Amino acid sequence: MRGVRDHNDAEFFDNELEAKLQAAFAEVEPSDEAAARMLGNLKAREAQVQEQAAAQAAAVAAAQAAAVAAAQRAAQASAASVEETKDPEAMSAEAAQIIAAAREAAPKPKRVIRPWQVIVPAAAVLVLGAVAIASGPLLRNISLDHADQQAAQPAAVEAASEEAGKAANEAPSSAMGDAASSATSSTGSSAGSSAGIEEQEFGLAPSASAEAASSAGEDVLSEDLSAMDAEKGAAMEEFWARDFTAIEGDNGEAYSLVEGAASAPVTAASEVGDLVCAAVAYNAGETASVTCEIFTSKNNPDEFLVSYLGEEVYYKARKA
Amino acid sequence: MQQGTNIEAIFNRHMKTVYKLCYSYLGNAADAEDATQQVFMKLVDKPRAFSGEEHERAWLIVCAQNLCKDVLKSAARTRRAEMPTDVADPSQRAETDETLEAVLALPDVYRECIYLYYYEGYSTADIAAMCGAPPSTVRNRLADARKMLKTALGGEQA
Repeated sequence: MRGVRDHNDAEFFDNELEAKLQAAFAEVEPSDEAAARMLGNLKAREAQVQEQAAAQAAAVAAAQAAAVAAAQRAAQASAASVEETKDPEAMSAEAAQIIAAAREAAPKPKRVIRPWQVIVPAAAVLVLGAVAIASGPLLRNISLDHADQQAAQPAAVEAASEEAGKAANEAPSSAMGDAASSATSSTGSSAGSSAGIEEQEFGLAPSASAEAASSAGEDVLSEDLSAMDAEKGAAMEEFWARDFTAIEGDNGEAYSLVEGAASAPVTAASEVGDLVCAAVAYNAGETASVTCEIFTSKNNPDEFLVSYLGEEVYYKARKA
Repeated sequence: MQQGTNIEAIFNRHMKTVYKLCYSYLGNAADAEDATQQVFMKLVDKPRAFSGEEHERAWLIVCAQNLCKDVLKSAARTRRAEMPTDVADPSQRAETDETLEAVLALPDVYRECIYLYYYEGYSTADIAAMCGAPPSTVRNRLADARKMLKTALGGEQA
């Protein structure tokens, strides 16, 4: 009945006791009546369970059939409703009309003033006012500097004119003209330009007073130069009225061309750079190596400036 | 594998085993009969597929154990002092009653071990699997149960 026992103290339990236990349990059996009763109950329960299962299955089948029928009815109803619906375009037009009417009927949104719409402009006005107040002293300083410059400019022009006059009396006419022009540029224009630079630094245009001072200086110089030219021109006319072959210096020294020296009369065909004399005799005895060439021409084509001794001098060579 | 349940066949195969186990737990024929019927009712209500008769038998034993434990825990249960009336041979009743009473007097954990081991022939490993206890625990319970039975039946105390 039983295999190998796996307990260690089997000898403790003798065979007699084991046999008694088996006999005792063997006697414990239900009666036939009890067994039949239990079996009958079980069969009745089994039949009941089977009946419930069948009923459940029938109910499930009925529910499924009902669901299918409902789905079919719903599908038919949906198809019918689709057929009864209006034309989509007409529906959309009606919807658009309804929406437009609703928009017109809807109250207009009120204009709401936000706090920042008031605060920001007010702050901007305050900032601009503060900047204007702070920049007042600076503008006053600028105007004062400008007035000082205007007051100082005539004095500078006057001093420049004086220097130009001195230079005209002392230096040759060309140098004098340069000096005058340089003086003009270095005094009047410098004064005016300095004022102009200062004004430009503040972003302002040169003032009319500065321009007037500059023009006044130029008028003075032009008058001086014209006077010099007139004086010198008379001497030149006298000199050049003679023969070109003799050259006379500014200080009245007489030059005569060395015989045999290359010389050429100035003619109408003469051009700038033509050599008109190569050597001259100084005071009819001393010779000096000079080069006389046509330097430039001015307004009168018959008059030529001659370069003498390598310097540009106001000797005029008249056409022979 | 057996599909479904033929409750009559299963009942005829295992009715005595389940009944004896329930009797060893509950101690009287009426409770054992009720418990046996409930065990098979469970199988009727929820049919199961068993891999063989031994699987079927083991499942019924475990189900009977659990059911009997629940019955013993139930506060509504009134212990019946009646002796079993369906003993087969009244001539042997005195001797078997003494042995059976000694077994029924054991605590529940010892009774199930004694019945499954000595009458149903399960090994301690099988009993451990059925009871949800380690095999060593089952062996200890068997040893203790034997000592108690020997004492109760007039043998020497260990």
